[in-house]
Amino acid sequence: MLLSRRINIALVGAFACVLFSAHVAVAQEYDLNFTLPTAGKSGCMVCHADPNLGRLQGDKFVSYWVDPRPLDEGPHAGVLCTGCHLDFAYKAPHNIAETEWQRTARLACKNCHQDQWKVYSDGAHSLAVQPGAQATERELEKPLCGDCHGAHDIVALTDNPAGRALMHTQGRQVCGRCHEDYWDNYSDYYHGEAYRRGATDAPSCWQCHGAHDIFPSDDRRSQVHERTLSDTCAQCHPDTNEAYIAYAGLIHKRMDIAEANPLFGIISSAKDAIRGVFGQIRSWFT
Amino acid sequence: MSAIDLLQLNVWLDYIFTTLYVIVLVALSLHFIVGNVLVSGRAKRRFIGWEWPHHDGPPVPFLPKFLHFQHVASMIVLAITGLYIRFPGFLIGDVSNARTFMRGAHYVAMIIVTINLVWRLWYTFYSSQRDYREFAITKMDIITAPKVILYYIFVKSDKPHLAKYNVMQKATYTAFAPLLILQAITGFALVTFPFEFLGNTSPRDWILGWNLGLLLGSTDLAGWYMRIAHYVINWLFILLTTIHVYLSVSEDLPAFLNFFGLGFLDKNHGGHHGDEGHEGHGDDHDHGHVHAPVISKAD
Repeated sequence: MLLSRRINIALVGAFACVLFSAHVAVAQEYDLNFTLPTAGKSGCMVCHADPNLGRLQGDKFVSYWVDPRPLDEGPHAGVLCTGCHLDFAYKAPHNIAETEWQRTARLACKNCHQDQWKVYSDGAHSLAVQPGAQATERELEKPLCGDCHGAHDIVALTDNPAGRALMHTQGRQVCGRCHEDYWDNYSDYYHGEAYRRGATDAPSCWQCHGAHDIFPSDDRRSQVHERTLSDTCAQCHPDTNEAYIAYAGLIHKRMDIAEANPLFGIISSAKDAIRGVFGQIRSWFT
Repeated sequence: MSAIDLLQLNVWLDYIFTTLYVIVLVALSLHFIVGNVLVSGRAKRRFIGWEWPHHDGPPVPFLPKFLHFQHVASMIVLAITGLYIRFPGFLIGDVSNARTFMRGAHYVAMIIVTINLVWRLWYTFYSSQRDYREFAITKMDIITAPKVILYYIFVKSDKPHLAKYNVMQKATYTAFAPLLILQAITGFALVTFPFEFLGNTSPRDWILGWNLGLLLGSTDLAGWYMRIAHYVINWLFILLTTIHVYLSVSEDLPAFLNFFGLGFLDKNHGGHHGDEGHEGHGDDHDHGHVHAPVISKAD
């Protein structure tokens, strides 16, 4: 009986030691030194398919998990990891501090999608950095392929209505997170307000502004430049004229026009007053 | 009108009608509280004493009541879905495809209202029970109109009784017909998808392509004008219907209930008044000819 109890205590102690050592292992630098197999995805996924894979960077836990499902179901199922992660050292641990592996991966699309890359390279989002020149901070802010299209969860758009429908919902993530002002003021009745509320038949940003071939609106090549705007509107409104396309002035400027309206202040005050009354009533019951 | 003005006009219309609607709601509230409750005591006599106008005409046939009921339901759907189409934040938050659903509901209600309109016009002018005379404004109506207005603003305690409807009702109900026709035309002019039976053209092309579209050089621009007109008429309906409902309830609640098949909620339903003609909120005999035995003409 006594022996049995001692064995139990020893087992619990041993288990606690294992747990403690595992905890310590997470916090410590690991030391691996072996060559990774990269002929198939399985080499990378040995580690990266583990949802718990990550590193502590300061107080923050950074996950390096790659969900294999969207990867295997996506259009790049047949592409090797190194097809995009071109600059990876084939040894572990990866030296991520000295490489721009994320930017490299986000730009790797150009190696296959050369037509799109060419159009993108001419557009406002192109890096426009001369060979050997240092990219400025503004250049580094510009979106790369992966910033808009996603990475491992990328979906095909060509001949894929479901993928296009999914992409259509991503205006906030694709454009709005950088162009916040334009996202916020995309609030006219039938385009912006509807789009932001999830209307599938309202235009996403790139349906008017273009995608890879995007330019500032004052650039003559822009789809929303006054020279080309009627053609852009005609995608949905086939029989337009100059007077009609002036509606475009409402698309990003409805709130400006509204705020300049003399009744705006009165209605805003009334709204605030009503909200105040309801807020007061609510406070009585909460 | 330049298109820049159209941008301003769009925003102005939103604010003008929103403000106007709030004013109407406040005015009707004051009309009821100050006029009906405090000044004239009509509310107490009606809602507590249950003294309502007496109707001695024949009962309203089933068909107009049925059409009215359908019309009310469809117009509510049209107003809600229409406002949602213009203001996608109206009522529902971020719901994918809600606008497609709202448009579908709008089209269904539109078809019902259009059929109702044709049916009601046929009933009014061509059926064996045609009732167009009830809506005709006579010379006497015009002469006595000021007295009707004075009654509604509590200056007079009684109003002239000339027919089933008073002059204000006649004017309002008659105005509904052309407004509905205009609303139907402007509404169809907003439909842009093609139909085979229209020779693969859209209702917009069919309605506007050969007139306003040609004049303005763009059917889409003509459609913009139609949208503005549609929006204005929508607000006119909302405003007039709000007043109509308020006056129906405050002036003749039993008739209002009866018209919607809720006559059993009338305290005197099947009771002592035995009034078979008490259907349809007309203008038949107001004060002095009430259901309840106690009559007051104090207001």
